[in-house]
Amino acid sequence: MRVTVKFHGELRKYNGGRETKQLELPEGATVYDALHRSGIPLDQIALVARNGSRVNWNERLRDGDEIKVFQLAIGG
Amino acid sequence: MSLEGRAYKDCILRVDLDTGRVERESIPEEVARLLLGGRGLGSWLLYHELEPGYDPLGPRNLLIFVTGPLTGTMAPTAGRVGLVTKSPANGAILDSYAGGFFGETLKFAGYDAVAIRGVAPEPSVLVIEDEKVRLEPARDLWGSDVFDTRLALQKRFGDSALTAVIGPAGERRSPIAGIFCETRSLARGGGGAVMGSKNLKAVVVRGSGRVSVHDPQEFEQAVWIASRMLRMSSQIKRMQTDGTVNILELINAAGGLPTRNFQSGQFEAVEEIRCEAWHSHWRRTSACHACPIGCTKIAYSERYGIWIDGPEYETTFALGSNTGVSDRDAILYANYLCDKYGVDAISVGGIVAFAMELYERRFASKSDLDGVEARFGNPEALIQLCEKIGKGEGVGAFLEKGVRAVSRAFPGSESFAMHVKGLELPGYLPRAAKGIALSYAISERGACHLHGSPIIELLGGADPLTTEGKALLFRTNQLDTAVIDACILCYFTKFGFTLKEVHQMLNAATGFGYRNPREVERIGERITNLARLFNLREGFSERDDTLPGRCLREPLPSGPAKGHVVELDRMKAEYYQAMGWDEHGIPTLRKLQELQLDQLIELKDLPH
Ligand code: SF4
Repeated sequence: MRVTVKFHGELRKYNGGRETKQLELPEGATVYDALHRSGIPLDQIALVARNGSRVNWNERLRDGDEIKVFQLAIGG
Repeated sequence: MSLEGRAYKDCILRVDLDTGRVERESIPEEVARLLLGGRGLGSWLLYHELEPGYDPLGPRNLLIFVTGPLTGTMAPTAGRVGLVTKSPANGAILDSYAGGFFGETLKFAGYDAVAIRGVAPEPSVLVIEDEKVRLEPARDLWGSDVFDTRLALQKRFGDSALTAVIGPAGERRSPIAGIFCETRSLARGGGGAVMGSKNLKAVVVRGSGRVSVHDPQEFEQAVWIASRMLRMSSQIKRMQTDGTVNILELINAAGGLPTRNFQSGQFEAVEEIRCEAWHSHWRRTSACHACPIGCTKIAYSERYGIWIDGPEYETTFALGSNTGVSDRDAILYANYLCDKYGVDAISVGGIVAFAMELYERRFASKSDLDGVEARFGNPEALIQLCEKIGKGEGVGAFLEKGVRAVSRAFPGSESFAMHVKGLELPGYLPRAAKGIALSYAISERGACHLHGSPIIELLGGADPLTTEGKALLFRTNQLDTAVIDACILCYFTKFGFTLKEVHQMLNAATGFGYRNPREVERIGERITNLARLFNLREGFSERDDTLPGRCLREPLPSGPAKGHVVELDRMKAEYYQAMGWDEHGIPTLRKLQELQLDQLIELKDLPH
């Protein structure tokens, strides 16, 4: 199945400065698998959203999902 | 040994507007050591000198501008000013801070605090030029908006003079009026109304002195370390590129972005107001005094031809998602109107959102709202209502009294009147973040995100939906923040360095010899207890430590926190216990003695 990974802010440096990366993953793959393949150090991730909402890392992905990986952030 | 030369100026300036008399007095060393300055010093003065139950808009209320021991030094972000007074929005103790350069200039002029009481016989400007202090008539400025007033003062006093001014809202004593220090503001809680009640249009400061510290070499070293830690943080870098609004999309993904008067926590048009979308409006970046971060964006709206600092995360939520408006130019213009008339954008956004819900649920008719089509998402309605509130015209004169007062006129609307202790809620959805919810309920000045809200909950730092451990998480944050506000440093430094670095800077600057960061944290605990005592003396009780019914009883309809309400009672009980207070939230005598508060205030007139 095909999954789109979006890199937030400074995390883009793990994707050659680009925002989006397409991944081909086996059926049954989880969010964690996608993160692992994306090359982002896990300790730099604040939150992962699937189709705009926070998702647990052990959830299974579906074909066509878009996940966005947010870096540690502050503000407010 | 005097405090002068040990980061302090050892001078509280007292101005009596009734008589025009000015006095100077030094700070008791014990007060400085136990409460530092800033929020600590201001709270102590207010607690001591204001009689309980006194009208916040009466002549004897004190308007206290404070600096901290680190203000005006090279400590990162140490240019800020604080304000302490009794709030006309709710009668609670109010403390508020603004960045920029006003604070350091006040310190350079020679003051740790300026405590103003009385009422000037005519509209006036308080001019402080080093040791020269005088009142000047300002009839010509009365009625001018914040921008025009600032310009006129710059012309009159020159560019090197820094100003703190009120707009028409402050003159009208509106409980949502702020005080505007250059492009920054002491916005929340109605400090502008207190200033207006004193017939004071502006404070103008020029300072030519400098701040000396106890051990310059050690201080330089400590500052170097703290600044380096700030600069190295990757989170801080995001603030440089995308301002405080950088977190908006993340908060939305976590389901915590208040939308349509806090009905839900995700905004369908988030793409329109997330940080990337603002890049086309941002023209410049700026920073406050000695700040290596520089989070301030300066935006331009072509449609309206206006410049504005921001928008910040808070203003984007308040005037954007919370009113359902995604039109960026309209958000910028609404923000501009708030700054122009001198009102707090968070409160204004909360009031507009509340009016919209009243309208959509038919509590209020179109004619009740001067014919404004107050539907969520309508940018014209946002602008019209902001204009009316800012000017206090038509229905604006009613709305500017705040959400709590407005809801009283519409029985049945209390559960969605989004305020705590009369202060409108800031930008995190309580049902989606339990620790933040607790902080809103407890915070002394009313719903507030700057007095220890564990915002990291929504930023991936803790599970936001559990109540477990949240009392302690909030308490730690709250005490840290109280120290930061007593120093006075910027809130955001917390994300770069800790009390360990603050401890080193403080010891080098003051020579107080605090043994460890724990002892510094105690200062924060002392200040938090002092604020609690002030409110208890004013008649506040555990019943006021609560949240709007919507947060407690309406399960969230959608998003990652779907089905959640805030389980407040349990967290509250845990928090009281963690603070060493009794089950009614009253500090025990033992706790107060342990904190040495008996050395600072009379414990016999405690509320028990
Ligand atoms: S982080 Fe932003 S608000 Fe804080 S001192 Fe720096 S520029 Fe000012």
